[in-house]
Order: sequence, then C-alpha cells, then structure tokens
Amino acid sequence: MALELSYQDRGSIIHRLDPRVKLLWWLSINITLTTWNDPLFLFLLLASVFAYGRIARIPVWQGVRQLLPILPFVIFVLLANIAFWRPAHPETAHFIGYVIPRGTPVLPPVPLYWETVVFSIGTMLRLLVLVESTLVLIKTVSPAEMALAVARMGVPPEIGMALSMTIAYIPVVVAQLVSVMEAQQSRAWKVKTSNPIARFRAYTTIAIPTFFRSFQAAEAMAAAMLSRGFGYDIDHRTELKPTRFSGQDWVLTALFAAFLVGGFLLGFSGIVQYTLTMRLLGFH
Amino acid sequence: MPVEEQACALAYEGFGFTYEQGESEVVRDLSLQLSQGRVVLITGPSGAGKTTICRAANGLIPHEFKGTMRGRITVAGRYDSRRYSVSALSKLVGLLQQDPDTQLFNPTVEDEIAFGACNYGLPAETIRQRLEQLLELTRLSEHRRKNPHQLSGGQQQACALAAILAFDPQTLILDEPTSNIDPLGSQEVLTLVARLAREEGRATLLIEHKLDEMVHLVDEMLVMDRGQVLHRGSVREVLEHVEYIDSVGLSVPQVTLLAARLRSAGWPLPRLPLDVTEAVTLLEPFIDRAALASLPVPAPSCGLDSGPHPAGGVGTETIIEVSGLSHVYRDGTPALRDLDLQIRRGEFVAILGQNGSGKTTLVKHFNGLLKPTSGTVRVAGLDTARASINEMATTVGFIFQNPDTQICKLKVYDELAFGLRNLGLPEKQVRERVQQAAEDLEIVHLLDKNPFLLSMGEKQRIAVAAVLAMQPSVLVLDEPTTGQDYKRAKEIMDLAVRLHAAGQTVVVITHDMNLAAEYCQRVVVMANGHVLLDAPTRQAFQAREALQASSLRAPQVTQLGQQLGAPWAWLTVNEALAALWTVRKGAGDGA
Repeated sequence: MALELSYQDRGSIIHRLDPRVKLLWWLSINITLTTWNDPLFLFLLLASVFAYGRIARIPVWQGVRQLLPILPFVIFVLLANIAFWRPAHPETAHFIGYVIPRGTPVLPPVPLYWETVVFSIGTMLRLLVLVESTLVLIKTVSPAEMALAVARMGVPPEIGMALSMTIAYIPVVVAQLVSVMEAQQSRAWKVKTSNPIARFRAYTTIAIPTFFRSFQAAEAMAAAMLSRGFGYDIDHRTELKPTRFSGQDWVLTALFAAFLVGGFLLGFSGIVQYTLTMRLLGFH
Repeated sequence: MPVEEQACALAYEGFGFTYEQGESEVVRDLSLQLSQGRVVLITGPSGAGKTTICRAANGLIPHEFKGTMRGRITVAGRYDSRRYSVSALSKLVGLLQQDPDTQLFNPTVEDEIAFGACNYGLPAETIRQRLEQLLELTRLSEHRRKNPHQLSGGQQQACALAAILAFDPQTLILDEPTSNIDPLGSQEVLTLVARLAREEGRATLLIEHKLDEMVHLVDEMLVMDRGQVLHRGSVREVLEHVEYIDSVGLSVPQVTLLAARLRSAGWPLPRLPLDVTEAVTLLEPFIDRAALASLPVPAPSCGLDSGPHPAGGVGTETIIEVSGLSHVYRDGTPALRDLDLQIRRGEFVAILGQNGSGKTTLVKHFNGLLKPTSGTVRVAGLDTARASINEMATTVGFIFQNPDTQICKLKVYDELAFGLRNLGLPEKQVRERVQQAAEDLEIVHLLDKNPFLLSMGEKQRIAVAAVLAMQPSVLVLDEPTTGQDYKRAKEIMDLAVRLHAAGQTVVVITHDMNLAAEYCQRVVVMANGHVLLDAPTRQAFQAREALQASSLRAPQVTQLGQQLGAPWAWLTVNEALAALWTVRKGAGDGA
C-alpha cells in the first residue's frame, strides 16, 4: 500500500519524460480545473488522467482503489455543496424539492435545484481529478527528479528539495497509518460502517498515533537528510543522470501548453460551465 | 592531511547535554577520543545517553536538537561542532541512526546510496565507481532498482550504511546498526564495519546491545548508564565486571558471565573467556567428561521436555490450527507456502527465522489482519478469514513492537477502555476490567495520566494492559526485543511469563535466541515461508544445521555444552552453571 503511493520506475514513456514536462501536465490539468465546473467535461478530464496513468503502466484498478479512502471526504463535499450552493437566479432555476422542508424547527429550509445537483457533481469530480492527477504525478516523478525540475524552473533549490522530500515522506506516513490501523483493528476498532459520522469519528482515533509517529519519523528523516549533506552546497550538487529535453519532450510540452491555454480560455469564457450539461439534460 | 586530523578524528571533551524539555543532563562529562582505524563500542541500557552522544558527533546536537550543551566536540582536530553546520560536519562524520525505515527516502537503492555523495558534489564518475563497490560489498546489486522500502530489514540497514559510506566520511557513527537483523546478518554487518575501519583507517563509534558479536571487533568499550561512564577499557578489561554489567540489565556474553560465576564459586580460572572457543579451552580441564556425558536431563517444569521456562499447564486442545496456509501479497510476493502448524492451549511458543522468512505474515493471520490466499487458519474454533473483528479481538491479543503504534487516547484509563468500548461492553464492566488490567500491570497510579508523556517502559505496559483488558485466549508478541535493551526485553518477557502461568497461550516472534531459549517451551523455525523446524526448545537448539539454514544460532551456553560433549542442550546460564558444577572434576569425591 505504502509503496503504491511512491515513485516506481515502470520504464514507460511517461517515466522517461523530462520531469518538467510531467509537472507541466499536472499544472495544465489542475489550472484548467479551476475554471471548469461542467461534470461532463470534468469526467472526461478524469478519464484522461486515468489514460495518462495507464500509459505510465499504472493499473486503472490501482488508481480507483487509491481514491476509495478519500470517498467520505468527497461525499462530504458533495453533500455540503448540495446544502449550501444555490444557482445565481433561483427564480429561473429548476426546482426539485426541499432537502429541509419549510417549517422545520431551528433549521432553515434548504431547497434543491437541478442546477445544484449538476454543479455539486462537478465539484466532486474536480476533487477527484486533483487527487488522482497528483497521485499519478507522484508515481511517475521521483523526488530527486522533482527537486531538479523545480530548480531548473527558477525555484530556489532549497524549496525544490523540500518539495521532493515531502513527496518522499508520503509512503512513510502511509506505512505508519497502516501499522496504526492494524494495531487498532486488533482492539476491535471498526471503520467499515455505513454511518459517515461514525466513520469520521473512527478515523479520528487513528489520527493521534499516526500524527505522533509521523512526527517522530519526520524528525528522524530530517536528521538523516542533514546527516547526508542535504543543503551542503545545493548549487554544486552532482547530477548522476543529467536530463536533456528530447524531441518527445518538446512535442508533449507543446501539447500540454496548448491544453492549458485552451482549457483555461474555454473555462474562463464560460463555455465549460455546468450549464452545458444542464442543456444536454434538456433543461433550458 | 594535517597530523592532528590523523591522530584524532573526533573528540568529546567534558561533553554534557540537557534537552530543552529535560530537567537534567542525559550525558554528563563525557571525554572520548576516536582515532583513525579504531573501533569504539558504547553500550548501556535505555536512557544511558547513547543516542545523544551520536547526535552530538555531527552537530545534530546542538543545531537541530535544542538544549544546553556543555564541553566541546571537535571534528578532525579542528572543527568545533558549535561553529559548523550539520551537513558540513557530516562530510567528515557519517551518522547512521537507528531504524533504517525513516532514513530511506529515495526511489531506488541506487539513488539512496548516491544521495549523500551527490550532495557533497563528488565527481559523477567517482560516485558511480563507489556505488558499484558498495552494491557489491552490501550484496545489494540485484536490488539496485528496487525501492528501499521493498528490502528486508537487514537489507535496509545495509543500504543505509552504504549510503553513508558512499561519501567516504573519515569517521563513522553507527547507532544500533543491527537492531532489525537476524543473528548471522548482524554478524556480517558488524564484521564489515570493523573491516572497513581497519582497511580504510576509519574511526568508528558503535552503539550496540549485542556484545556477543562485538567482542573481537572493538578496540575500546564503554559501559554507560544514566549519562555516565561506568566502565571503560578493552573489552576484556570491561568484561571483568560482567556480573555487575549483567546486574544493570545489559546483555553480556553468556560464556563470560558463566565463567565469572564459576570463578566466584571457586574455580581458579586465569581469565574470563570472550567467546565459546575460549570458554571450551578454559573450562575443559575442570570437567569430568564421563560424568558430563551421562548427566541426566533436568526434570521438565511443566510436563514437557522443554526447558527452564516457568510452569504453565499445556492442555490437549489445539487452540491455533493452520492448514495448508499460503499467502501472496498484492504485489505478487509469496510470503507463506502451504504451511501447517498447530499450537495447543497454554503453550509458550517462539517463532524464529531470518528477516523475510514469513514470521509476521503468519501471526497476522492469527487475528485476521491478513486473510489466507489459500488454506485456513482457525483460532479457538473460529475461522479467522470469516470471523468478525470483535470475535478476533477477544480471541487474539496482538502486542505490537512499538507501543506508539497502538496508543491513541490522551488518558491512560481511556486507552485501556478503548478496546472494551469497541466491543460494546457496559461501562460498569469496562471499569472493572480496566481496573483489573491496571492492577495486573501495576499501572493503577498512571490511569489519569497522558500516555504520550510517559516513558517508553510505561507505554509498553499500557499497551500490554490495553490488550489484556480484552481477555484474549492467545497473546501474540511481535518482536518484543527489537529496539529494546535487554533489561526491558526481559521485563516484557517476564510479563508474558506471568500471563502464561495464569493460563494464557503465548506466541512470541523474536530474533533473540537467548530469550527464546530462556522463556519458550517450543520453537518454530521458519525459512522462506514455511516451517523448517518445529520442536521443543531443548531439542530445537540441538539442531544446528536447521538453525544455520535460517540464519540463526543457538545461545552461547548451548554451543558450549555441545562442544564440551553435553548430551542435551543447555538453555540458560544458570542451567549450564548447574550442569558444570555437577560434573566438575572431583565433584564425586565431595570436593
């Protein structure tokens, strides 16, 4: 489990790309994301992330399985949107009914519109794209490559190394989490409950030891890094595998850059908005 | 290189340190000089200040771990540790800390080893050459493209060591470099370290508990307790105080302790032996071989020919039944292959085996943390693949290596009540059981305290009490001795003995052969995912070939008995002492 969340050289074409190209892919997806909220397009974007992962020889089932732990949070976001998001013009929106009916003591009425449902699904998909694309990036760019990539993009090398070590730390935290969960399961701790509140409370139980152990691990890792010369003379650090931009890198850079610009403009101009799916569903 | 650098690679002068949150000095007035080509060993129980000494060597103290430092530490004869950064000092002083898991953060073994050398800007060609040499030296060549976290514990430690050696520091500081490794693997690593010190003229400071393996490798030895040096000198000089060192709870070579006790009893031994071969030479003249050959096996203490473990009734009922168990991990690694095992109610069983032999995978099937790929595991009649979490939690209590993994509440009472509340027991019953478990483990006075603020020993007791409160039929201890000093390991095992005496079935996973010999009735030796040997302890420790095949080695006293011609395996120092006293020359004459 912990290893699945770390870089593994699967020898794919993606793994051979310059790390800056892979970073550009991730940025193009996630910057575009901020301007889109149409579920149909976001679904296609999610599918493209899975396809990119598949080219990188990451099994689709692995990507899907790794999204499962965040499902309670995703559902929470979905429900929160349904409860609080309203269309800009409720008087012309397509009313379904009340989530909380009028006259309920203490609580205000919560109307539900088709626009709310469609927009909320889009928000949920945004979150899934963000998480999945980040997981794919982590699995295809080694922490050391990441440090070099950001350094070459003009970011101070210390920040690059810190970023790369943060990524390297993920599998360590996951390993801590797995051992903590096993220890609690041995004392009849249950997380598999259909009640989301009970599930949330169950997770808080493992948060304390995981945090405590992760803190210890972070301290040990920081000491280990310093003890191996981290930050000694970062500008003159030796590169064992100096990377060069190949033709393939240029082509994909152009493609991702075009997607970034095109996607952003489409979103910014209001084309990839939830209203598109609304129209496809027959709501005018 | 200047003369002073050659003479003294690292010097502590009146070093003392108090951590920021601490009340007193954890190390007091330490003066120590490390010269090139010499290996110095520091040993001592938890709280002796060993890790603090290591951290100070490359400037982690005072730069990263804040507190008040007294005295001076000088690297290479001229660099004051207060005035240079950790990464600058580390170029000269390579530090390998405990727990390799947190020191491996690169995606491949190659990257991990090269990381430090690249940071120091060594020429790429030099790094490549050194990388190849180190991969060869540590036998990691075939794993070079693997993620370091995919390696076994021993391989991880070898990888972390290679990562330090790659930038060729003139001084090596190794804090328990073999804590996760099986006995033969430990011997290999320590021999390698000593060889590198001699051949490459490296000053080496080792922190270790395993003295058996160190005695011929080190030039100077310090025994510390509570921040102070108790004894120092050559290994032979220090081990003259072996009985005292044993009394403060350190693991000492069994044959040295045995000889010291014989000498105290009047045997005119000219010196104390440091290893089994020397012990045979020294003791042989005092022994009546014929009497030894016919020495009767001591009466078993609980109905089995087992060993000097405490009494505990073994029933006829099989409580754990493993049939045709195979387990393949999700990444395709086969861990267990068609394994069969039965454990009877009330047994005290040790599961031994080299790193990666499948021990932990096997016991995780006992409480359903892992499900069989094929085969079945039944515990107290329950099929662990189908039983509910509640059923398994009340049947098998699992005590993890590190109590910090388990403790999740901010009050000891709530920690002990956690499992019981998960089971849905009424609060009155929860209260009663918590009280009982706290009394059994003598932690009643801690019930209102925050467990995170307690000592490691207290946390360990809390973790055990929390499991015991659930009144499981079987207790599993996963590597209770790893990362612990001998005293604490014995405390945990003594606790297991008390529980066993009260009728509990106990299964212990361990690398520590001395503890297995002293405490367990039966030994299951695993290798490559199957059971290589399953026999009563005394019989198992006679099976030298099977033990060797699993990178294990019988305790020193057992080897001594075998070499002297004893017909049965001696399992503890006391047992060997009694046997030798009985067969001493002239014993039959009333001498």
